[in-house]
Amino acid sequence: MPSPPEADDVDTRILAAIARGAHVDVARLAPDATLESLAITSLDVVNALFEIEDEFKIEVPMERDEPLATVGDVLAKVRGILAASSNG
Amino acid sequence: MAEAVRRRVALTGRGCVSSLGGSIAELERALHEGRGGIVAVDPARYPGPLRLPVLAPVTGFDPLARFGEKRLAQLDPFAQFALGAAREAVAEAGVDPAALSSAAVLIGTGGGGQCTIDDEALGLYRDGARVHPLTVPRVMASSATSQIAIDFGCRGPAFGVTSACASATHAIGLAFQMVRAGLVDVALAGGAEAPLSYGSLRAWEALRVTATDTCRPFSRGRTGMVLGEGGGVFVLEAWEVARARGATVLAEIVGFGATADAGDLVHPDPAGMAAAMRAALADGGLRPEEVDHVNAHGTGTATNDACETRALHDVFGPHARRLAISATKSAHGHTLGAAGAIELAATVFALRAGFVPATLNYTAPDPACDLDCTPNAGRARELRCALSNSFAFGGLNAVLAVRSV
Repeated sequence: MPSPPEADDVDTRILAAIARGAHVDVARLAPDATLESLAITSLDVVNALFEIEDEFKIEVPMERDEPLATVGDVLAKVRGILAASSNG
Repeated sequence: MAEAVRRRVALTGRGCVSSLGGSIAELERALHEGRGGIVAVDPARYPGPLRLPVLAPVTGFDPLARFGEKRLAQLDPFAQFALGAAREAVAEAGVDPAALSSAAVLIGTGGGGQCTIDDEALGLYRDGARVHPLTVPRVMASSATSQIAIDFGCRGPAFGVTSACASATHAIGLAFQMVRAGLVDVALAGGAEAPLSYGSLRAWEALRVTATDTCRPFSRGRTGMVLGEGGGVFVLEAWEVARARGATVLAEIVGFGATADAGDLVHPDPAGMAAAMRAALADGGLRPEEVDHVNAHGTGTATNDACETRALHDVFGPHARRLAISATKSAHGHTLGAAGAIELAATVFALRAGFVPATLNYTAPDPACDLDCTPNAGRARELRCALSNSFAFGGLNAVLAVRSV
């Protein structure tokens, strides 16, 4: 089943925020791409999360036990927070 | 070429202001009892919300009582901590005021007068308020150095030293080299930091390195560092000069090593850490097996503690497992530019008391941190030599080697 259009829109906004924060071309942000392969450092991740927080007016908590290895990991984490905040 | 002068360097005075109290005695008592100074954030102190739940603010320190109203007006909190610590150190050393007139003063700080600049900027930008005329002399990162030089009439080389979380260790290391090389007979050196202003805390939060619960170095489930404030200052003297005046020598500083990672801005490099430890050992003519104790940088971030463990294995080989390691940031918080001084005070306490301070808040072993970090309970052990490690953001590493006397 295709995802509803709003979900695509959310992903587009998340990817755009990652691209802004990590200074990476958005076209390279495939979900299975590792952050390492995109030369996205830990400091770039911090920048990207800052952009995401601004974009959605949310807070991405500072948990460190769930490593963000791929672009898809970031998408999933942010989608989870957005789902939780819309349900709450 | 003439052979370089190489004198022994005695540590003859100590002063400390931290979350464990306003003196060395209070620091030592807390370390001996295994008591920490990390407390819940006081929301009344801040104009808005904070994500970080705990801090390590200074206790047992009354600036007005120590300095009086007029002097206090010149002092950002970081300079208050430095000057308070310097007075305690000079008093303990019992050094003659005349001998101080040519002393060097080197005080490290990461941020200088951050509280003052935060307060003045808030008034200026929000309210259009006038800016206080003492703002510049309070904010400048060398103000702690100047205030100490003025207090004791020190007219030797004096300047601030800055390398983020390694600032104090670099300052003490430089002072050690100056005394050893015969440039000065006496130096006052240490570090101070007052980073608990709202703007500074929000900046640290944004970097995502602060703990969500508390500081638990080398433990499984550690979530980051806890910011603290304070200052530490030492009196360093040429060995023969100290002995000639009958001074009590508290410890001998034997080596200093400093390196730069020249790599990532925030991610530490075990190779750079190891190189700094090796340099300190070589500078002090120490074999790794002579070292019994390490006061680790041990911030409680996932990355630092794992990298520091790898570096310790690399430098010490099989002897790493016999090291008694303490991460006292778990007690006094991460005091950034003051950390190296407060931790040297903890190291000297360990050497003198024959007591390894605990790494507090430890919950469970982490396979990436498989050395003996003295979890939760300190213990008696005779200690000959120790390292005090400082590994700063920006990849600036500094290590002091100290010997028991």
